Amino acid sequence: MTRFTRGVPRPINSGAVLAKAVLRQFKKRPHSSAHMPTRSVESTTTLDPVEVAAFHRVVEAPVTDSVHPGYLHKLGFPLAMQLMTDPSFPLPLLGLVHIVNRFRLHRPVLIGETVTTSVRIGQARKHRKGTEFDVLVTGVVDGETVFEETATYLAVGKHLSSAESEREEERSEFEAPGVPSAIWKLPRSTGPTYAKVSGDYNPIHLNPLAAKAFGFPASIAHGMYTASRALSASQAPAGGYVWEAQFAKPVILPARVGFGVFDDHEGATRRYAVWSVKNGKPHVLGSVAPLA
Amino acid sequence: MTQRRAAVLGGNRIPFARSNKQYAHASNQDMLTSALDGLVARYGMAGERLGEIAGGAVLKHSKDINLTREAVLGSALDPHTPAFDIGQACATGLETVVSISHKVMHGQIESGIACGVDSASDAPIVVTEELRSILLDLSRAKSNGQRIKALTRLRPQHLAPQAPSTGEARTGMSMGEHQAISTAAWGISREDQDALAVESHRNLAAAWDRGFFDDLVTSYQGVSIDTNLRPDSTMEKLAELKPVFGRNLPEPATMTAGNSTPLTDGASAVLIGSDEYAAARGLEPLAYFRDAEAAAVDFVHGGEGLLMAPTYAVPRLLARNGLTFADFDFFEIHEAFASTVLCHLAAWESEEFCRERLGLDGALGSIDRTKLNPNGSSLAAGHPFAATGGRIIATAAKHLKETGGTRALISICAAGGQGLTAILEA
Repeated sequence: MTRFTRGVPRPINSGAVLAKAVLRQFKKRPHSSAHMPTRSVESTTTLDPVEVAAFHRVVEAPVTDSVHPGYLHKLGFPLAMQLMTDPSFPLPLLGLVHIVNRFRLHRPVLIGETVTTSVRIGQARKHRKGTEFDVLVTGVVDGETVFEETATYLAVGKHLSSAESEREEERSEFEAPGVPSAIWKLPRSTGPTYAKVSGDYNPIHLNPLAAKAFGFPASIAHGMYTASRALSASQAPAGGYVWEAQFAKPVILPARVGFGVFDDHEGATRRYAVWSVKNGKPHVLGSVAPLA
Repeated sequence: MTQRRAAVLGGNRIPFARSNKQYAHASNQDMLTSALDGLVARYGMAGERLGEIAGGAVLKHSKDINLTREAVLGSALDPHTPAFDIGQACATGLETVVSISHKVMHGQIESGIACGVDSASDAPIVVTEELRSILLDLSRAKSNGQRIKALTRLRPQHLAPQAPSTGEARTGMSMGEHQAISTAAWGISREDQDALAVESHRNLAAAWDRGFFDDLVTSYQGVSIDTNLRPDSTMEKLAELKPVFGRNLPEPATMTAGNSTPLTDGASAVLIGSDEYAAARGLEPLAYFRDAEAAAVDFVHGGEGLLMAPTYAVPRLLARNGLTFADFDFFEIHEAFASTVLCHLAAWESEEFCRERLGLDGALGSIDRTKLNPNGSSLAAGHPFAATGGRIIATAAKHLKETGGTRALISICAAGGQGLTAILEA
């Protein structure tokens, strides 16, 4: 694996990255037998209390000294964008769907700590709807790995001959519990508000017309917003934990969604669900489990 | 420290009025001052320095940091009378009674007033979170550049005012939606709820008719009787109302505007003192405060009903005092919704609930319905949140005196999954 390290960390201009992605739609992509780029990119960030607090407020977490994993996810996001807009990346960035996010927090990460985040892309896998791949993120503070994240994306209808065979999926039917433990009213501004604190300015979250261009009836909430808010409401354990989110139907804004958290009877795992109050269909399903 | 008794000596409230009607332009401070002045006038306390005044409001303006003290300063009481505010949602009024009673019992004060007020009409309007954040950043800005940067974030939609809601902060659901879940879980019928509402109106109307409230209420703003009272309320009329809560649940919705309390404006005050104070003033105690117990439930993650906390508080209160339901002449259970009361009664009659949730050996027992809220309760009188405790204590104390009873149980449920219960005795 070639290792790419930028000498001086600089903020990534997500507008420029996005513009690049749009332009790339018109360029010729590498042949479908191409492989995923194997290099890794990294950046170093000192966790700013003001920015962290702004994020916590948006995802309705108490403003504490330990940083919400949703914010740590944000550290890897521009690096992932950088890899996915690279000319060698064999799949189109626009239209990628974030389907699963697994975040392993080894210990609480505190404001003021300097985190070196490195991101690489895993092997492409065949999926019944196209091709999926993992964005693998690692956060290190003073030589200690503090978190690892696997964000799984799906390129619908795209096929790579180099892709590994399909992974066995567990698919369970979701049945909305009759009674939510909370109802969230999500206004249209949910998209732009989360964009500001997460740096994810994908137009499908900002503009109903842009969302329509991608086949949504109106702008949709960021999956990581819904999952982060669910984590905030799920009473995560005090130490390290694994936070998982599976993204089902997008939340079309504005929306009223039900939230529920359920103790797993076989241990300390808490399962949570966010679903549509209107039709009972799931938006995000996930769990929070303390590290063994 | 001496352990003495705290006597309920008298009470006063303004008639309760449905919100946005007669008291629409009166503030919490206006109404609380009126309730205090009525009490001061009734017991000839003008210019008197009392031990301490405890008060509160649930819907409170940020400028009202010293609401009760400001009301005292505006009243006929000696301005040397200290005051403090407390808050426990709908249990605020009863908590002021507990607080003042304890101070009297410990010999800290000789006399005091427990009071509460709420206006759902003159409610605080707040700005949006975005506008608030912009304005705060603006005030923190040190340069014009920073000021301009803050102002450029301003958008027209940030200017829309936000009215307070009765929704629970952690669940986003209104109290009615929460209660509808318990109502369905306990299988409380529409008919039972409507019957309880009719009874509440009938009992309150009868109390007004026989002059029971003559020395408990002072008219205000041209209102001389609780405006929510419908003496001619019938099962047939209530049956016509459409359900308003629980319409998303699989069970049929049963909670209507008729068997739920309306938003109400009002204020109440209770005079509490030691036996020595009562004797010196020539006042005959109506009843004595004996004990109180608070409880809370985990309605966020624990699957418990938001308003079910009193079911936990009452058995603990009874056990500590070595009492059973049979030792009480009557029961004052705040009617947040008719079904709240019925859920509590059902829970105490349930062997399973009492064993598994309350840790008792068996069912706590049944309450004789003829002993329930003998002078009506919140369904008929209305429920100006922090004023309800004072209404119930003054009403129960006087009823105990009039009927020559020995003991009354008081129970109030509150937002945040809380409940406060108390015992009054002769």
